[in-house]
Amino acid sequence: MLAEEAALPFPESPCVPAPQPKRVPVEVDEDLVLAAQDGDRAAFTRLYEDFAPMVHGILLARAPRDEVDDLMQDVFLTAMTRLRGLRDPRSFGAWIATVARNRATDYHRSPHGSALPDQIPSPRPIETEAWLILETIQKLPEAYRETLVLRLVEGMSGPEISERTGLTEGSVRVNLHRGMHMLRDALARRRA
Amino acid sequence: MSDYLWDKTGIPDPEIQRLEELLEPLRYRPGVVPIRRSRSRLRYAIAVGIAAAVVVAVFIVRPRSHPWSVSLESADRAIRTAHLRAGETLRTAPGQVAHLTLAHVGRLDVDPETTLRVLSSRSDQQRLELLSGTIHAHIGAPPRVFVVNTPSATATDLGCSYTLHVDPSGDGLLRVTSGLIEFDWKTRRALVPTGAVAITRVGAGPGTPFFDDAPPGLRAALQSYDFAHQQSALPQVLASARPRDAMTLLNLVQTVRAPDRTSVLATLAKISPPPPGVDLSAIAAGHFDTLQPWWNAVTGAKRRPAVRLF
Repeated sequence: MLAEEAALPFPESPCVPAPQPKRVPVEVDEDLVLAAQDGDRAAFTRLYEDFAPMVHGILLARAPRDEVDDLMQDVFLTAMTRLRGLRDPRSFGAWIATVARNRATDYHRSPHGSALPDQIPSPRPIETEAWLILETIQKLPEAYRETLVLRLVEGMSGPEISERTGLTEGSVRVNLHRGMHMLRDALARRRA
Repeated sequence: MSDYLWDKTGIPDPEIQRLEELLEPLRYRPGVVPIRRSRSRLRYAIAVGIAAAVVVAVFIVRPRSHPWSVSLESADRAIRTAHLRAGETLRTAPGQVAHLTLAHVGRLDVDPETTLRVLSSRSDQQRLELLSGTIHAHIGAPPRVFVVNTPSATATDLGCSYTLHVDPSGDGLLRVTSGLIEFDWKTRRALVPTGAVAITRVGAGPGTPFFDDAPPGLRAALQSYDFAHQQSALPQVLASARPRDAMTLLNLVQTVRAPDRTSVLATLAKISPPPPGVDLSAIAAGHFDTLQPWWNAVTGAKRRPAVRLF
């Protein structure tokens, strides 16, 4: 029989909702990385889902837009084959960010195809303006353009960018601040 | 730098918003797995294989299992860490406590001599079974995601902190420190808000919840009514109820026999008049869906509840 008056401690706890998974989660699931290293394809798929926006943003900041999808595929293919070599599962975000940056660098170093794409879509006017802005961002210094693309295109917040890429919050803040300042100036010059 | 640029809080900068809107079409679109046109046949084949596997897996693996992170603290302050997965059981020794955490769900503090099993651990449902002992749950997951089974009732979190105790016989006690918990067994159901307690007994399910400071006469009468099935205790319950105990009567009106609803409603209306829109005759007829505004008024809920309660 339970004593109704049982003295149970009342822990203090404000009713604060736990941060729920967003499209870009801010935590690297260590077990997920370990499972993927053991060949768990479902775990790798989940990592793909979680990190695809960041990889997409990093590539978009450095490579022609038409090549980004192909380069993304390269990045995750490389990640899958080299994942076992990653010593610290917690650094998966920083690691795959580096893979993406290196892949973009390789793209610019190597001669790439001159073949025309299968289809040349006619951009809508709003997309034309988006491309012009992206082109302006791509001319900014590397650190700024990557952070700006992740923030403005991929919709990640500063803390998420920091968590995902492994950059310190201070670096991301500075990059966002300076990058935004330079982007405003560049767009104003362009309009003038 | 505006907060909006950093973490999307504060007053939005119109220029940044405009850039976000313009650039949004360039954003990564989930579900679109790129397939290379061709660079080499072998790599193309590998890539297509990966892409296909990714696509298939995306649809098959959801929702996936997430283990709880466990930190076990012994009487000598030694700390061990582990993971607790679906199907696994945690038993704390005398003098040993455990702290369980799971991202996006919350934290559990487990008292000594407690046996806790993980029944399922998915992103859309975390279901545990408290076989005996005491847990203190601090949950931030959306309502109805975190559920704890006990031998005599099931506690469903509607947000956010409570203590649940099960003694060796399987009887239990739920004490809500913050938020609202649904406590049910078969057809019996109790809504337990902040500061309230509900007793549960094997074979009977949860009793009517009452506030921790409820008069002893009310508590005793509720125990007689809920668990000894003494109909004669109902007048004592109604006579002992203070205005603050309207919460208790709002629970009670749903569990009493149909002929007794009228007397419960009469007392309830006297100690806490119903707000406009509450149809007493409908409630008396067993249609409890109009209780929501009354419940809001009684419990002081200022926001619309995230889940339907009645």
